[in-house]
This record gives sequence, C-alpha cells and structure tokens, in this order.
Amino acid sequence: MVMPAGDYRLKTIGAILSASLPFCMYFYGITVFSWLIPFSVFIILAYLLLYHNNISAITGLAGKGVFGIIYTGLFLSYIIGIKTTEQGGWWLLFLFSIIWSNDTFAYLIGKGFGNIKLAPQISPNKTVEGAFAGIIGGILAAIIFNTMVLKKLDLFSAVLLAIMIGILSQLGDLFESMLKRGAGVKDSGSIIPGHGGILDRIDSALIPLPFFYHFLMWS
Amino acid sequence: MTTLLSFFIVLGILIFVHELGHFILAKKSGVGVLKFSLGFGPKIVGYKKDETEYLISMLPLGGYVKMIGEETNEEIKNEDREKSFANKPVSSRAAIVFAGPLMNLALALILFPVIYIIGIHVPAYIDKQPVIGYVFKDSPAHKADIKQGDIIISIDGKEVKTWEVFESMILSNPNNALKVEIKRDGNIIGKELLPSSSKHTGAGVSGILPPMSPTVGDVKSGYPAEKGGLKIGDTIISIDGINTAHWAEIQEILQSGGGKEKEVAIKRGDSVLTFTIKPRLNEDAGTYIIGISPKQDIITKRYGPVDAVVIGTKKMIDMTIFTFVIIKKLFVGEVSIKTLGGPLMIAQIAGQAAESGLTAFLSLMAALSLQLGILNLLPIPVLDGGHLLFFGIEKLRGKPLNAKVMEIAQHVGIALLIVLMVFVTYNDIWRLLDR
Repeated sequence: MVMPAGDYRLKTIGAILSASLPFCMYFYGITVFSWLIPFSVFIILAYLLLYHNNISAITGLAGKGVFGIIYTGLFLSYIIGIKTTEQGGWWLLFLFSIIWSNDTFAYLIGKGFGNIKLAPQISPNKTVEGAFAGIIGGILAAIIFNTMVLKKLDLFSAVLLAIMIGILSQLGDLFESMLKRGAGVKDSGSIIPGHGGILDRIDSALIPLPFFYHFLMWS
Repeated sequence: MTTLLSFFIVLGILIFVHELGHFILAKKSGVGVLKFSLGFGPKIVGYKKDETEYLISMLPLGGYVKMIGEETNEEIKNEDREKSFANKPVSSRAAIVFAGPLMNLALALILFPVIYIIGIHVPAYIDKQPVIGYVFKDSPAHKADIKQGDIIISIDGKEVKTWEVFESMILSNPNNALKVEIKRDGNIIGKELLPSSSKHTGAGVSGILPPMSPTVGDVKSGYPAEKGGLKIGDTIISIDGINTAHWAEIQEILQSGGGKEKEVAIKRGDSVLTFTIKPRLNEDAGTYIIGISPKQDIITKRYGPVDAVVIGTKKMIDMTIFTFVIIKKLFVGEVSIKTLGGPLMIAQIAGQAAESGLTAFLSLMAALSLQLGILNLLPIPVLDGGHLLFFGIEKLRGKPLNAKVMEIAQHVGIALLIVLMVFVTYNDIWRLLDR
C-alpha cells in the first residue's frame, strides 16, 4: 500500500498523539483530557493548515486524524481508568471475559445454527442467532466471574451489565466490519496462530470501555 | 468440543512446563514455594504437600508459582528468612526467573525434531523431480522463458533433484538473479531467473507451479459447481472446448468472458459428462470462481533422528527470526494483529490440528511454546524478561535497584505496554480509514 507522503505524516502525528493520551492519563488522571483532546485537535488542524495544499482531501484527512485519536487513543485510555479503580485488574478481566465469551458463543452458535443474517450489507457472516448467543454467553461469563471471583455485583446488575456490554461490543464489531467493507478489506483469516491475547480482541472492547468505566464510577 | 478441549490441553501443557521451570529452580536454590498454580483466581482443586499447595485455578490464562519473599514489601517471618526469594543472590534469582521461558524454549527444541521423526504431511510432489507444471503469465519464470514441461536441473551450479530443493532456493532468493539450467527436449539450456519478492512475506516468487491434475478434491456447498452437478473426484478435461491439463488452467479460463456460462466437460469413472456452470464473482478477490478446490496428494515424510534434529533446529531458528520480524511489523503497522489471531484463533487451530493428526497438534504446540518463551524474555516489566533486566542492572551496580526506582520503572513499563497496545490498534484502524 503506497500512501501519499502527507497522509503518512498525518498517520504518524495521530499515532503519537493517540499513544500520549493513555500515557498522560496514567500519570495525571482523567482530567488531563480536558486540555489534551483540544490540544490534539489543534495539532491536527495546525498540521493541515501549514502543510496541506490538497484542499479537496482536507475534510477526509481532518476526519481521519481526529477520529483515529478519539476512537483508539481516548477509548483505550479508559483501560487505565478502570485499572486504577479498586480491584481494577479484576474488573478488567471481568469485562474481557464477557467480551471473549460473547465472541466465542456468537462464533460457535452462529456457525452451527445461524440462518437469519444480521446485517447482510455490512457483514455476510454475522447472524441474529449468533448475536443472541453472544449476549447469552456474555451473561454466563458475567455470572460465573461475579459469583466465583469478584463477588461485588448482585445477579440483576451482573446480567444487565453483561447485556449492555454485549450489545456495545457487537455494535463495535459491526462498525469495524463496516469500515472494512468501505475499505474493501476481506474478513481476514489468520495466517499464523499467535498471541494476540487481549490485543486482538481490543477493538470489540473499544466501545464498551468508556461505558464500563462510567458504570464503575457511578456505582 | 475437540476444539475447546485441545485448546485447554495445549495451553495447559505450555503453562505447566513454564511454571515447572520456575518451580524446580526455586526448590533447587532453596527458596520456599507456597503455591504452584495452573490458572489464576479462585482455586478449583488443590492438594497440599509439605509447604507447597498445588492448585488448578479458575481463569485458564496463565499460571503462577508463589514463592516466599517474592513481593517487595512482603513481611517475612524470621524462620522463613533463609527460604526467602529476596534473600538469594542475584544469580539464583535470575536462574529461577529464566528457567520458565527456558523450559518453553526447550520444549520447542524437543518437539520440533520429534515432529519430523513421527513424520510430517507434505504434498506428494515435494520429493519428485521438478518438472514444470504451469507458468503464470508475466511471472518471473515466464519472463525467463521457462515453459511447461521443462525439467529443472540445477540452480547456480547446485544440483536440484526435488521440488523441495527448488522451492527453498526460490523462496530464499527474492530479487536475486539465479542461473537456472533446464532440460528441454533432451537438450540442456541455461536461463536466467529473477524471482520477485512476495508483497506479503517478502519471500521469493517464481510463478511456477508443479504438475497439478485438474481433479476436483472438494466442492463447496452453495456454490455454482455444486448446483451445476460437479462431484468430488471428477476430472475436468475441458471448458468451452479448451483442454485443461493443469489445475491453474481452469482458473485462467474461468476469468474470461466476464462471468458468462461455461460448458465444463468432465471425466467421471469411464463416462464423459458436460455441465453448464455460471461462475460467480468473488468480490473480495475480484476473481470468478465456481467453488471447487484441487485434489492434493499428501504423503507422510519421515526423517531419521539426525536429520530430524538438524531440520527441526533450523525450523526453530527460522520461526524465531519470523517472530521478531512480525513484532517489528506490528510496530510499524505493516501487519495487522488480526492476522496473528488470539485465544479464539488458537482454539480453532488447535481443534483443527487435533482433527488432522498428532503431528499437526505437536507442531502447533511447538510453535506456541517457542513464541511464549521468546515473548516472555522481552525486557518488559511484569514479564520474566523485565525481572531479568532488573537483575542484570543489580549485578552491574553491585546492589539492588532502590525500591522507588523499581516502582517507577514498573509504571513506565506498564505505560509503555499500553502505548504499544494503542499503536497496534491505531495502525489497525488507520489501515481501514485510509482507503
């Protein structure tokens, strides 16, 4: 893939700003965003003003730049927010076990029994049966994890939380399929088995992350 | 079910071996071990012998060995002082930490040769004489005037007797002009072949295929071929009157005509049948397909112990290099974390591996064990490699790092891990935005 040099610079600037968000949050707390986000937007627009002559591409570039920073940098920062709450590590594992279970159930049941397409234009592989199974899987994981490890939630909140997280995570997945569709990327198979671990599931967690953080803050 | 089961078996063995490394060395250096656990979190079953509790815990994402005096601010009873991890010399502590990843590397080092001794499944052509089956248009081989039916005799003066040798020479020589001797109609002719480099892997590509009979090995359900009436075992003799002697010719003919119906003549048993099939456009790849895949003759190739050790070790070195290449590419955004696959992908592959035989299963285990060993040795705080880094500094300074510095280093380490995470995700998302 060959990118115009300008785009490549924008990508690099965006990557550095994105990475600086969680880094600063780790050391200065969540209030850092009240100036860091405007600052990032400012940097992007300053770059575009100073270095970009291709006027017709400017809307797209500004969008990509800001969206990339918010969607990855800001959303991922909430991992730190969650981690720094009481028993934060366990809460994170709680969140990820719901998401993993959601993915696994959706995949297995969808593959075995899926008939009704969820969103054929966006992703031909996702089915309604799979989506429901995913939510159920998330609920099971939440109940098991809560009763055996965390012991912090009552049954009702655990189930409700799992449903919310399940829906948000599936929306995130659908959104990414949509991006893929738009970009003309195939749903990629794996070439080598590896250790994606948390990393490769992180995009299903992106949207639930801020929600889950604020749930913890609220409760 | 096999999938899930084999996943836990593979993961369980890898974790067990890793923790066993820590455990044995800890015992050997006289450190008291309180817990030896497979998995994290609350225990499922446990068994206590002497001072150590052996556990299986709920979350199957790793394991741990808990030693006396491991935490920096742990209170240690006087009688335990001797058995405390913190009280041991740097060398013992480093050895205990190093033993975990080392065991994973050792497991891989044993498994790779074992796999070659049991025998690996390879396509049958790999041991045969390299007679060219097909040359893609405009490929390096096509430009070098190498044709169907030519026999490769030597490359750069080195005799080439089998496809295996031929392919490995091509793979390792991207953008490197090779002097190829071929035999055509009984004459030996010299050609110059310049393999191009693959966009995905960087390996050399020649555009040459071995002979592949146009016999159907699999018919995908719901695709035009199945609806048209093709069955497994059919041999395609012609399409629209054009003879097909090689599998690649089928694909080539299907691309012509923009998806119009094709007359496909096949041989089934002794009878010749003709079907009308309308190819379907595969939007992702931009090619016309009918949903069939070739029949592949697979043989089991076994190696003697000495050869197996040599080849197995070489394979392990290749995979080690490959792992680092991938890590680098992740950082700069050349590959997506998706293509690597996470636990679910490991589970899927473990399942398939278990279904397709012991060697496949062991290969997966060897590869994962190797990667686990390597990744754990990276100098990142919280990983074994991070501890080793601290021990290294302690050895150089002659005294332990001060607790404050160590804590800061831990924090910076965690922050860096998150930065890495953001980089990888950002690259992934940007890849999608940028088209």
